[in-house]
Amino acid sequence: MAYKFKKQIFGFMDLLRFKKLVPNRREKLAAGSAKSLPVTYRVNETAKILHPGFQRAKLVEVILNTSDTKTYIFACERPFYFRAGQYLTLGCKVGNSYVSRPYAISSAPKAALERKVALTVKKCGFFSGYLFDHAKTGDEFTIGDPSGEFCFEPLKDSKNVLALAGGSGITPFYSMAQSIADGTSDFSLTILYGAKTEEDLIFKAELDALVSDKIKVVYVLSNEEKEGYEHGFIGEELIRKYTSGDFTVMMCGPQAMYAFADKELKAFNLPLRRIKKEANCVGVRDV
Amino acid sequence: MKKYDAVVIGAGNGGLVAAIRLLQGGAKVLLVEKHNLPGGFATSFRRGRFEFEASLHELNDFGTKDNAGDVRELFDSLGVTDKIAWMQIPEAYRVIVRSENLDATMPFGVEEFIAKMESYVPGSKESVRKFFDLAEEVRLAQAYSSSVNGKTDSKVMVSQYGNFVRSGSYSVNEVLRTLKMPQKAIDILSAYWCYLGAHLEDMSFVHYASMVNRYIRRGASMPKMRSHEISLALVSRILELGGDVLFNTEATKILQDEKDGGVSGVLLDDGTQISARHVVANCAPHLVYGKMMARVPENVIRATNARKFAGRGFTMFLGLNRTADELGIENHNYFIYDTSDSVKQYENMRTIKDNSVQATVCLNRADPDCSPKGTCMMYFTTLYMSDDWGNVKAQDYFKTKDYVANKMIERFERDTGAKIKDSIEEISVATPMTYARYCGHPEGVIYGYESQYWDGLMPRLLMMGEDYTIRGLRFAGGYSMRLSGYSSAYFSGDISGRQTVGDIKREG
Ligand SMILES: Cc1cc2nc3c(=O)[nH]c(=O)nc-3n(C[C@H](O)[C@H](O)[C@H](O)COP(=O)(O)OP(=O)(O)OC[C@H]3O[C@@H](n4cnc5c(N)ncnc54)[C@H](O)[C@@H]3O)c2cc1C
Repeated sequence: MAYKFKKQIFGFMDLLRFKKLVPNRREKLAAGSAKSLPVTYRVNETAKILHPGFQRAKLVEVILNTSDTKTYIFACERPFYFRAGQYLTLGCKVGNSYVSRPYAISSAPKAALERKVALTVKKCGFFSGYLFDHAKTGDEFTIGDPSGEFCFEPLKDSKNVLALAGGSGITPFYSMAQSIADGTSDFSLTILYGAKTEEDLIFKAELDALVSDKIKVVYVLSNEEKEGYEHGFIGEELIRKYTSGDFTVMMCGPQAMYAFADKELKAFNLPLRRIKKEANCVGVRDV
Repeated sequence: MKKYDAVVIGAGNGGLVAAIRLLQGGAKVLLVEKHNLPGGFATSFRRGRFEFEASLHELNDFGTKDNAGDVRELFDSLGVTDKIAWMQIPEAYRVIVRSENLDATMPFGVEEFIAKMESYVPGSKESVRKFFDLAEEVRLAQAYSSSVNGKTDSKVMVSQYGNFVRSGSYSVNEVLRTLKMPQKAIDILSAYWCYLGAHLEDMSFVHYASMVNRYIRRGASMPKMRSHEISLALVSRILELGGDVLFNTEATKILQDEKDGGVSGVLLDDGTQISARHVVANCAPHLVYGKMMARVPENVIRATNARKFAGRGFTMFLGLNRTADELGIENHNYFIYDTSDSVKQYENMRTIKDNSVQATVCLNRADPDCSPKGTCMMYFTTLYMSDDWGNVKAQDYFKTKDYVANKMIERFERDTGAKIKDSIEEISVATPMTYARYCGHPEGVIYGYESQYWDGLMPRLLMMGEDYTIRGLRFAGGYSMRLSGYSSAYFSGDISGRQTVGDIKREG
């Protein structure tokens, strides 16, 4: 090669520098601290709160919400955190086998930092039936990582969220409402909450207490006509009545509700990004 | 007790290649991976109708059949090249530094690159050509060095690779200034620096030149089905060669021989003990010596403490419901900086508040069909040069994540003129906490140990022999002798795998 690289006046000085690379590094390595290496790091510890993995949880309180739905409050082994709208799997030994199912979280994210978490479960399948009939305070369970993307996403969603809740599908929205009320989340939530009768409404008193300029709850009864309640199913007309401008729809409830809502929402011509469905944790399961 | 010649801990890029090399050398091998998937960072994930690439912007040094890079040759000899569908990245990069009115789009190909540079910076041609000549000599010197397993003859080095030796101890900036490269050309040529994560007064010229030269000379590649496709191909090769692979299995301890303190086995998280005299660890020495070994010699602790973590990662993934054309996203690969002074920029990148650097990719510009018709997908990456995320409490985590993600979107829109905010259909964000959890790296580091001057590529390679301090324990991946990046991690797996084969043979 014709070109000769030279930084110092004499090329050999560059060579000498090259020769020093090894002794230089040797010296630096030897000068490191003799203190034992860290066993963990702050970021890794925070990651454990955000993704706690499986942990033990003791059932500390059971609340009967309606004739077929109960809220189970657990004290967990470790503090953790989640996004309102997420679910987690709950499991325990039933007879000789270990059974677990995913359920939406009904408590506020903040409570989990205090190791408290609540799941609200309608009796409708094997495990939920077991819980309803047999679970009592003091029982030990296992809970898994909070999961799911059924959450308000500030960079993508409209600041106005229209929640369509059917039956126990109110659960994630109750968590969201609490997280708005305590300042964790910042968006406006209008909940259209469908149930057969007033008796079937879960968290009515709790939701009414949270109503504010950011939280609005409209109860829609299909089998009852009552003052202060909408009547029928959650359809185009009701949606129009309670929304204006840009909004994000989040729905959580039984399959039949999704099928109906999808049809009714057609009139609004919403792009895919404006509609979210929770598929995992509610509705009838007979397993 | 189950017995193996070698256990590879971690199925990241380094671990996967090390396992194949060990098997090819006739060893009985167990690979353990704590995840249910191989690849470490080299993976993909699905959100809605988008399949996101988790990390790879572009693979360096792969090239094409008739312009093969070293990684392609490595993959050929591993027997995996043809298991993967490859595509080429269309252009090298677009670098934007708005405050300095710098906006340059650079092509692959040395001649094309020099010509384009000349059009941006008249009078730069000669110095840029010298840069590539020098960089090519660096590559040849490295090839010579690997061909003799690092035991280079200093006479050969000085006579045949004199420029390499004479430039080999300097930082990037020191060399570029010596070449009398105009400042603006230096600025454009420096754009790749965030891929290596040390600023250019500190990073060795050899390391940087080696990367840039390979990118520009060979082009950059990408597997059609994301990096996950490479990881799968490597695992399937391991299985073909008769290796055992355990997923969902963490190695918790490396067991030590009573007498020499060397490796005697590995303890798995389910309590299983594996007997083996050799381990290739595809994770940080900080973790191995911090919690996986009972007796660590003081010199090893000192050497590990002396090293500096490289950048902690942050990535935002966006699935957009319009095409790149509709949104005005013109390029595949963007580097967006506040300043082209890498020292200043590096300082800004210490904190969450001050860091707004991004390396951003729109994958559709390389593969128009990578997402459903009418959509496109992007990923935006930055690095933090300090442990600032360690200050973020769990309760502030989601807000902090959104704050940074929002800043990235606004920055991209402002600096490129593209409009993306109203078209976000899917968004997902990985932070240092995500990387800490996903691969177990300390502080969420994604680049191993920093390529600082004293601990750069050359001194690490030159000291490979003496860095092997505990019998039977070698490292592969971003923390080891080739530093971080896909190709580097593959090469370190190649080196440590082959060296371990040698160790096993010597033991007889
Ligand atoms: C967002 C992002 C973008 C990037 N872009 C590029 C790019 O465009 N080009 C490029 O070249 N490089 C890029 N990189 C860097 C590149 O991904 C890494 O340098 C490379 O993948 C590191 O490979 P590794 O071998 O160190 O393995 P890692 O990916 O770190 O994997 C280590 C594996 O070991 C496992 N493991 C660790 N400890 C244990 C244990 N005790 N037991 C069992 N398993 C264990 C982990 O679970 C993990 O799977 C990028 C990285 C990121 C995060």
